[in-house]
Amino acid sequence: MTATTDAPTPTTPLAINAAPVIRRRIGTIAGRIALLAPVVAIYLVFFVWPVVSVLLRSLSPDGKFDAAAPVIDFSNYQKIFIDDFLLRIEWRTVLLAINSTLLTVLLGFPTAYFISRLSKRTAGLLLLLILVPFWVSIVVRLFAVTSILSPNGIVNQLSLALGFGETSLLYTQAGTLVGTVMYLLPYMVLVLYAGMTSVDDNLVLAARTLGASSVRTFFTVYLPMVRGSLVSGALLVFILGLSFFLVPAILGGPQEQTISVYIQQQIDVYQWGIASAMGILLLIATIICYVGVVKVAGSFQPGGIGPSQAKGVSTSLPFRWSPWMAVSAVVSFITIAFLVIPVLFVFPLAVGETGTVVFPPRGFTLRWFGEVFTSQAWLGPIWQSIIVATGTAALSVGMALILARVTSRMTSTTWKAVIGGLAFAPIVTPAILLAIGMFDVQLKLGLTGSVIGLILAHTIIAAPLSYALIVAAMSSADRGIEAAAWTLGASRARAFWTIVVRGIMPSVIGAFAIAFVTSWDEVVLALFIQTGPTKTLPVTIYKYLESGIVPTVPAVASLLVLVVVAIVVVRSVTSRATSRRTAQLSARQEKP
Amino acid sequence: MTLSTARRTRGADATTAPGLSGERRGEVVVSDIGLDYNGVPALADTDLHVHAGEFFTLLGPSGSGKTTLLRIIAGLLDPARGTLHIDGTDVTRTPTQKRDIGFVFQNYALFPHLTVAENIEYGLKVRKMPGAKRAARVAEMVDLVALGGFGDRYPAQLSGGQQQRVALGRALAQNPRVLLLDEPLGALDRGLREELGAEVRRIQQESNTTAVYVTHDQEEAFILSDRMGVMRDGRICQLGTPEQLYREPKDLFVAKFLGKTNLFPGSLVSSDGSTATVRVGDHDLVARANPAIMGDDVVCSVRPEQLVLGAAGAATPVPAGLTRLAGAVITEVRFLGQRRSIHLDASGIACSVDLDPAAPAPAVGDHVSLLVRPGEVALVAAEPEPKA
Repeated sequence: MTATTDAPTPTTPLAINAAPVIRRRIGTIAGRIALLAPVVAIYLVFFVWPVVSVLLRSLSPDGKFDAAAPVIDFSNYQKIFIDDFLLRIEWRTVLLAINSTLLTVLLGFPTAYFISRLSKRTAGLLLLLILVPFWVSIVVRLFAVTSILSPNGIVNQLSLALGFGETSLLYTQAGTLVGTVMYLLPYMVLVLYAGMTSVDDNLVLAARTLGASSVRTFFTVYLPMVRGSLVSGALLVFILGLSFFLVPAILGGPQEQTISVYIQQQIDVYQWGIASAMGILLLIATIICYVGVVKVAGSFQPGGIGPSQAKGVSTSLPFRWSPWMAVSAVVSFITIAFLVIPVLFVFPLAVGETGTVVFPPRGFTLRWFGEVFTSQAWLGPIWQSIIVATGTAALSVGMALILARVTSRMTSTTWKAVIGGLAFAPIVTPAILLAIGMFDVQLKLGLTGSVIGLILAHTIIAAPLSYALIVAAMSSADRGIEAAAWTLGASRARAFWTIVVRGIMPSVIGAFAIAFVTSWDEVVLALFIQTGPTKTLPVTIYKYLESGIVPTVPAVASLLVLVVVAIVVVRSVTSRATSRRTAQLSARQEKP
Repeated sequence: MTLSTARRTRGADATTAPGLSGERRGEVVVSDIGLDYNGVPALADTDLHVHAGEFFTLLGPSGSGKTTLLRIIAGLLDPARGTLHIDGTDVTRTPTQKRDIGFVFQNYALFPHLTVAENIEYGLKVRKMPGAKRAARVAEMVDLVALGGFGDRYPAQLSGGQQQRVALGRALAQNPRVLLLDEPLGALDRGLREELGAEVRRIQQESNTTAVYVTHDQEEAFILSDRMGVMRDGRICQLGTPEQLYREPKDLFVAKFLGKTNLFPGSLVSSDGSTATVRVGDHDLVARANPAIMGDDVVCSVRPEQLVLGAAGAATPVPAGLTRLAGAVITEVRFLGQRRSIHLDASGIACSVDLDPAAPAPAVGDHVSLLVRPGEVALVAAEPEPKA
């Protein structure tokens, strides 16, 4: 071996070497821009333009923005705060949101607490009972609630039988409240459950060893630790309740209009000005609340996409019955019954023999199921929904992959935050505002009534969820493996597809699924921009709900519930099987 | 360097540079390579010549720029200036994919969704090696890294040491010219580290590649390297065989970084080519000359195993072949199995001496003389202290 030899080599002037490096950088920047261009274009045309368009319309007295002679006029906004009729609508909307938030917290907190104290097995089962209604389309659940609350529904029958007299909740404030709470409860329980299971049991034990009573421990130790998820859950629920359209539209009836319902009616009669101003008002209220969520929780987690898996109690703080626990158990039972009964209710209705929907059903027949699969009235919508949802899912995953790819390569955290915030903006925007804006823009582009138009509209609200899943997977995956593929000679494209995307395949599939479900269940956007004769499935059901219930609706509804149950059960079985298999493998690995 | 085994058959990629025989593949020449992070140099303009077939180690504390240099050689980082040649070809602007290298990452970076065999196969598939040949090569690599029977396992089902071997097999499968290793043993526990270190060396020799190895663990560097370079603050302080670096440190940092040492400040009296005379306290010492020294302020570096204890007092006779360095008081005596470690206070300088544990142990508080063989004292220039 030779001794130290620093090979003397001629030095090269700096400038000559510097140039190619810079060229390579510019090359990658140009590549990024080329990749991003279609994503940005879709975002600008189908999100920014609709919102801006509504904003501009709201600033013109007759609701028509004229680019040639732009006017800025606040008369619409003035009207919102002066007109008695409008003030009543606004007050009703806020009241509904507050009341439903309070009820949701009162029911959700004990339920989440009870479930978080149970063994892993039981907790998993109860969570499933909350997740199934959560995944069942809201239109289906609303259908069930309508039949339960209707004059010949079970509530009224029960009340008459018990001698309380006529109790019809349909088209009342109470009915709207019940429907809204039913929609919001799963969000609340899931957010709280996630917060509660992350509390370190040792802190509670520590408080006990220091001599604190269990009541004192609860208020001084436990509650402060779950306060963050409680507040952010409540704000989230409040926001959703504020701009919710479907429940007030169906259960509220004409006397119980809320802002969203009013906006829709104004658009129907071409009163764009006041509708737009109302929409912008909702947007501002929503933004304020979201800022609150971010302040409290530190970040915004779009509801319902985190994995809500049962974690089970630790052995350090075992489950024990106490008066509080008993109360929690009772509340949990009420919550779960409240969520599950409407879902189950569709089955007896679906097999009744009468041509109208009555409860209790008379006779037994599967005729309605047969009719669903033979009549074009349902096959058309089913097919339409499948096409739109598949298209939306494919487009969303594509956009999410591009965006995640670009952001995961970024070094600047501020830019990452800005892009993340912009990406989530569409799902934060009130659905009704996005719907009227989208309707406006797609009318101008001649896209209303087309499948492509609906796919693009749904992609705007589905892609952020796909993006959240994919970007989380990409940033938690080992960045080194991509570089490793490069050192093995794989081109950048090959390394990306065979290593990066392949490595996060479960998340890509999850992103596809969540986009598919988002589109499959979406009603508000689809209601506005589907002007053709064939509508998607939930919109078709909605139309029947508005106009009177056809006997095939329960059959369709029960089929939809069955699909969700099947998927949820299959998923939980497979995930349990996978975890058992990995456990076995690691156990086998222990023994050499 | 003779090879213990027969030359291996090459893979499909006979991309050896023209004019070079297969024996001498993977010569890496780094010329004036530099890189800045936000204006701060992460790598000062650096020269390095790694010979073909050599096992070369870059040793340094974290943040010294060793991984930066390794990643520049791999093409995972673009240098701001300078050129890089592998086997005489300028690859400064060649993307990683085309450099024909193997890289072992600190965390192995195994593809979690592929089995052991598929991980090793990946680079061969990229190179479109025909199926039968590919399978044979994968089997060969699995044997080479001693993972027979594990080919169908996924990385998550392997222990850390096994994962490390897969990473090594994957990097070597396409028979790269240069094998680059970024602290591949860092995540393993001590016993395994020694065992696998020897294995890395064996595999490198058998596969006849040049290896550039990055580590902050000097023992690893000593075990593995033909030559090594000590890095600090983005530059290479000294290059040489492990023994050269240990015995003849060029500066104070290298002296302190490699092994334990006792440092006695002194001043240069005279110097002639190979030896120098230094005055330490009241004693004149003969030490090896160090051409890197500029001024008169020097530090004598004496390893604990090179110091000998003698009777106290400046007048007492000194055994033949030894020189008195200083008087000292024993402050601590520790039995450590293979050696007995004695801590002393030499008029304010804390120092330590390693003794044969079988020899009689001195007692705490004894006054002794520190003796040393003249040729074993290494001289380095004194540094302004605040650093290090």
